[in-house]
Amino acid sequence: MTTNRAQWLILLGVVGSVGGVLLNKGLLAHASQAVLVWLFVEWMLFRWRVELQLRHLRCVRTVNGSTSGSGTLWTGRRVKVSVEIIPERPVRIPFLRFRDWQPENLQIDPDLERESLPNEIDACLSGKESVELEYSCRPKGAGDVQFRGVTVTVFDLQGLFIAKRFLPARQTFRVLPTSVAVDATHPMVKRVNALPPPGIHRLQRAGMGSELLELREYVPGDPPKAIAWKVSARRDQLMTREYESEVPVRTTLFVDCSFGTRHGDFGNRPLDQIVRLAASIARSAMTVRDPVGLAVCDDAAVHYMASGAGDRHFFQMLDRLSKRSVSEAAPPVRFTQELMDEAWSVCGELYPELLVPRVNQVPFTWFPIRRGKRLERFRRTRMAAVFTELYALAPDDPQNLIFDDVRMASWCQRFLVDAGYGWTWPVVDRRRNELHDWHSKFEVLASALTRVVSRSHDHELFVLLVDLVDHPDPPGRLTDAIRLARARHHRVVVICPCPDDCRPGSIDQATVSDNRKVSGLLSQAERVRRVYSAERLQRALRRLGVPVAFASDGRAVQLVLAEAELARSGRTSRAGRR
Amino acid sequence: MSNARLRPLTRAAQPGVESTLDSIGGATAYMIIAGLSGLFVAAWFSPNDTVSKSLMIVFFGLMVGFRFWAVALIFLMVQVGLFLVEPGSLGAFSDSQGSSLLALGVLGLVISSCRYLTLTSSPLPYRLSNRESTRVALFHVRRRPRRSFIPYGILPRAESTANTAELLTMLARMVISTVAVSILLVLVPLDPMTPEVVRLHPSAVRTITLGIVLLLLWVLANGLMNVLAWRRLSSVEARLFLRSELSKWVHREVSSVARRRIRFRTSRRN
Repeated sequence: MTTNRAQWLILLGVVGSVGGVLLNKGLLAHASQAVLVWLFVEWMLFRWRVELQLRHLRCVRTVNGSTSGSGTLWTGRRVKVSVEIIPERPVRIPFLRFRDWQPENLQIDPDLERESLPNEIDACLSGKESVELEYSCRPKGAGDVQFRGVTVTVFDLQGLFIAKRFLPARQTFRVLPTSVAVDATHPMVKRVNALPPPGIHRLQRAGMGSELLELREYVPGDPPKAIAWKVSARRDQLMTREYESEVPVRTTLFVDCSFGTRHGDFGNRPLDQIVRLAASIARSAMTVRDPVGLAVCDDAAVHYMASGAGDRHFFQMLDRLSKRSVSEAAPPVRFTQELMDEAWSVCGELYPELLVPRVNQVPFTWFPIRRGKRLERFRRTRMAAVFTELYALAPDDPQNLIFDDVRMASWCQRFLVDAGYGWTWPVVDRRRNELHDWHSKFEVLASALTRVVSRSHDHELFVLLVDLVDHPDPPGRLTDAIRLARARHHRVVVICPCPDDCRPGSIDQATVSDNRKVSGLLSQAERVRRVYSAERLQRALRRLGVPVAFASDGRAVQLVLAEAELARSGRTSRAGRR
Repeated sequence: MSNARLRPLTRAAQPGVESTLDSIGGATAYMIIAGLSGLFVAAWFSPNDTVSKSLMIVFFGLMVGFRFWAVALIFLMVQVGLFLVEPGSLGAFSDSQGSSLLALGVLGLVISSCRYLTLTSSPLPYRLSNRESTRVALFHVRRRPRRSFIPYGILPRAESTANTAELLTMLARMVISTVAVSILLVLVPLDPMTPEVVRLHPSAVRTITLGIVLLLLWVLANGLMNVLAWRRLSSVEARLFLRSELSKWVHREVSSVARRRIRFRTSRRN
């Protein structure tokens, strides 16, 4: 493909030659023809290199020292990537630019020692010498990461011609959420050093067992049957018996993986916050040998995982969470130019050879006449042909995709999701739908909670990791399920994903900026709305005896652990009231 | 890392080193060659004209300062214009050797300015607003590191890939192209009656013949390359080609059916 520079030079050469002939200026014609001959030679060399030599390049990628096609990574942890471009036959290409294709779920660490992008390198290939590119990156969110290959851009040294190709080197990695170990709030004294059998706690703690742990002063809220009357009479003050905990407190995590939690950038999606918290809660609970179960709720169904403890169960749980975090095909969306542009640019990166006009031809039409619209139609026609080829669509589908905006938008979203991108706005048609399908979400959640309560024993802990901030008044069905759980002496905690500046109490007149721009005012109004909504949610659930925490609050995991302690001790509140 | 040509960039590897050290680089070499070629061509076009020389100096300054290659071309056109309105100034140099030297100068100017621009700005086509364009030009002048250009979607070529062999290859191709044109112009067969029939100067007829020969060569070479490329198509590319070829035949009928179907669906919805 010729660049603007080459096109101008060709024009200059032709005009010079014609001018030289017409005006009888041999010198001008000679100089212009020398330029044309030089352009011809450069063009021949360039095409020779692109068509024949470029196909001999092979790419080998090493991720964390392994060239395996699959593996496991962790969110936020550093990954070392090394890419080697190996010519299988001797080649000579003076100017290439290699760029390891970056999935959206990866954040590349900046390399201060290099001037260009860390995952990009300019090279000059000669013979069978290989080129190596090294960089480090970090996965942003749980799910998966696909390394697809290396984009090669070939230039000539004058910048007259340009060609793009893709060297495939596919590797797929599961990304597990990183968990944070949070210390429990109660004192723990190790009695024996041997590993106790499963189900037996080696850590002494207060509970509802039969063995006496200690005597302490009475605190309002302690059960009357626990009062040690003889000791109280001797000491002339009420004393309470504390018993050892024999039964571990089972914790069940209800993880909301519905449609509304999947929008946004990787790492900042509400689902990412939920998954990170779920992993941290599970790890902290398993540290004290409490079994943890999982119920993953999407818009249509619940996927249960039986409770268990131990490292193996923990990793199985992380794997389940990671699988559920993978972006799925977006629902039918509105077609926008931004969506089309993004799909076009990703297609140009991943399948440049399928967009070459020689291969992907566009039928001639008179309309549209305007150049911009005509170019847009050409792009859309090419994209439709690529989708038809990649997804094996019916032969008449390209024409349908060209004229049907909804189908085109839907395939663009699917293409982007398959390429490792998150959903591109708009993910919903705001004229008809909302981001959350509240009805089905509450229906699924309430039925899951009721089912788990019906199969549970006393004093269990249910943690609802649900995005409720936009719906601060839980409907009757969910409220009933929570009441049922509370009536069976279970503890229920709700944790909502929420940006840091939208937590209750975060509105402060001093922090409200004087941004008078429309966008600034709108974002401030949205923030105020979310903060009030969060406060309203907190009040509504507090009436049911359910504490609410927000994911951005660092104490969310501690709140869950404290609730687990309450469930273990049989008390109803930390303040001592029963 | 086995490629010796990808030596580390001295500019970035040594944080304390000032950017003035970069001035002796590939870009500077091309800039000097372009300047010398330009002055050479200016001297040939109009040896006694001070306006032409001053214009060339302005062109040279602009090319150094802002590195907009289009400006260089415009000024070259102005030079050509001046040359055309000053008849007789080149009469003494219209022999084959003189014209070859002139062609060499023009080619040197074009090639070196193109290479210089490839080293200092991205060969990829890009569009910037006026303000961004000015900022990018200032970055060029200050010789800011390549990283500074990333926010603007531009990534110039790394100077570490430029070397002496590249410079020599450029000079060789320059000379070969010019000599080839000179030889071809001499070797092009010319019927003595043709200039009289078409009422043109014999050198003009030779130029036209050479142009036709070049065009034929290009068609042949393009055909050969297309055949080579066609034989190396992957199965996906071949399928896509067949699909697009088929859709070219039937697209009128199929698209009218698709449009009608969508219209029908929309009307039912409403």
